[in-house]
Amino acid sequence: MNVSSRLLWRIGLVLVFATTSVLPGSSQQKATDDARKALVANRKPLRMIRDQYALFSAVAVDAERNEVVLQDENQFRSLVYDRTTNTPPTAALSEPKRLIGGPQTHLELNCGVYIDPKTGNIFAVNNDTEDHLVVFDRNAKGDVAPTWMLHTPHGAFGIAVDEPAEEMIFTIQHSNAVVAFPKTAKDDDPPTWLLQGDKTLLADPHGIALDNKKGVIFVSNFGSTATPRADKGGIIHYNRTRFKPGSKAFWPLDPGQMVPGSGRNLPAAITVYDKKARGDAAPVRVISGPKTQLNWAEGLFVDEQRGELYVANDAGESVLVFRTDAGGDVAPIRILKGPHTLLAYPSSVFLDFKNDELWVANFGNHTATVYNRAAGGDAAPIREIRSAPTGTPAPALANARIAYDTKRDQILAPN
Amino acid sequence: MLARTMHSIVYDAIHDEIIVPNAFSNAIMTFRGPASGEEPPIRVIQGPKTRLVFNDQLDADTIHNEIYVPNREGGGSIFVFDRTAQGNVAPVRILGGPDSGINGSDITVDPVHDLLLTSGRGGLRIFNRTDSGNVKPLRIITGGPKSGTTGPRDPVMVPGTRMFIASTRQLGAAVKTVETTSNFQTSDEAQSFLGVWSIDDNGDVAPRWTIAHNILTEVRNLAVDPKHKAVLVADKGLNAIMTFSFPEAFAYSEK
Repeated sequence: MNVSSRLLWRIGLVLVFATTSVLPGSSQQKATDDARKALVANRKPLRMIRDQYALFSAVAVDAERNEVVLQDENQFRSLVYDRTTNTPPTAALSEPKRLIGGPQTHLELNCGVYIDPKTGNIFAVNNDTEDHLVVFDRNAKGDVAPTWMLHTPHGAFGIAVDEPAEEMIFTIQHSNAVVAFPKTAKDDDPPTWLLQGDKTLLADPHGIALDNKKGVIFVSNFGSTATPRADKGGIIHYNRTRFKPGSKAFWPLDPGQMVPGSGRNLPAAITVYDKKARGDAAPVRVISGPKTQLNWAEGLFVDEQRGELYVANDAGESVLVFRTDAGGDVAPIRILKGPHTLLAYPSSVFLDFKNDELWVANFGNHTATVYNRAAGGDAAPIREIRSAPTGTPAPALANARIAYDTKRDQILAPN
Repeated sequence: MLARTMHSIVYDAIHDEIIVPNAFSNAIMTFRGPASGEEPPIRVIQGPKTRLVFNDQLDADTIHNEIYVPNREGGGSIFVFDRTAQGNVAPVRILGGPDSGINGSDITVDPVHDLLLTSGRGGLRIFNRTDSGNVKPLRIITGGPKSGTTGPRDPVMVPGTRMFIASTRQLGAAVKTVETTSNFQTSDEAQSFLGVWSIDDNGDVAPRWTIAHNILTEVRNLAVDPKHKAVLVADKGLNAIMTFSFPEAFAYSEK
């Protein structure tokens, strides 16, 4: 029993004694009640389910500067490691070189990352609850304000940057949309174009990747969708942006602006769009069907030279590789999956062309794992960055709600 | 058929079922209580007749076999569905309208005392469970100087009593603006805690008990464990689920 516990125990004894020796309704009784209420008010939890370690949701490599940036969606931080970090099996974890996190950073449920190849600036996408893209100088560390921020539509998830066009493209999960902003956009700058509507087949979109060689955009979709209202007459639940005059033209309708009862579930799919597609444009191709093994596909990455599309297949606990010209119900050309891979709910993939390596952020086991680019089957990683002792459970809570199963004495928590 | 973003879950102890909304596909899905892995729902309410729009919250009355779904469209309302309904079905009734003052953000049903508790203009609004259309609430529990709180939110009933536990904040605590972050980052900033009120309260009434001061940041919802007389709290800012022993809240037995 520590000092504070002993003190509380003694106070409790005093209160028990006091409550048996005072008259009801007396001032002494009130004082006793107030003291008891104060004790209860500051009672600490019996138990807390909380992951104290970093849980990686997104990965990007800065090959020029030999660093890797990992998004920690559990503790709302960006962690920068040396690219060649390899956590030994006997080590508890690897510490990052730099850590960006804290109230000033505006990082929250951060799920996407991009590194500017010219400056090394870190672009971090926040998903549900904090509607900003936050951009940090590559040397930023600690609880620092972003170098700049951009208000994004609620539910932004994936980011792809078209460097020749100086344009950022985001998936908007809650709106079933894709929006683009100038790469230098900040504050309340408006989007420059939008993809949204039934013809797009966008359905709870997550990952996004560009293929400038073929002039197409790939988007991974979980499958839930609804029809935007044609009259745009609904209400905006989440948007905190102060719209500039004329800036709403390419802002997507949010979930509260869908046609009532129009919701439906489409098969999991990767939709492929012409780069010039705008508005309610149909995809040029759709990768979907049982042969694809798509199951909550999230992060995407394109190898333009080899014509390959890499997919972090979250619920399938695999990395799938398709030809970039694939369409329909096709099998992947390569699958990385199995107990030796250490893959656990992979949410992001990145190809380091300079070092010919494939990086994967695993949301299910506190690791980022590295493979030879062409790895397939049940291949073991060549390195891993681990943020917690091996085997530490990863509850992967993120904005969770709860219910209590009284039959089984279990807590239910959808994510 | 599930989504990565799901903001409500109900366990139906009578029928051993789990009910969840999918706001993105305007669906209400019911699974077996022991469901595990990639298991399909046993019932799905979905389709044009439902008129559901971004239905991210719900509660269930497992005694009278109804599901209650807040709806923000048109100023806020509560849609009520048959619990056993399947497919494209219309609500059996709708509570809402200017007199109701509902904002359609949350719902708690008390099937024992036949009441609905839902947020709206001025505070937590209490209706008869079977109210329909544009009716005024029976009572409104507000915050204010007497209670020193902002009023109760996201209540959860304490079984066997007329009490409920809800989250609240210290009166005068910081308010979010467009210039700030969307959420409270620290417990000092949030000044959130839990309180115990009665379904018979009306106006600015102080909670009987409070708990969990100086720890919470962004309370998402609560659940109770009646066997152990505990309250569970989901907190988004901490990304945590906490269990507090709270026998004081269970000490108001009606029996």
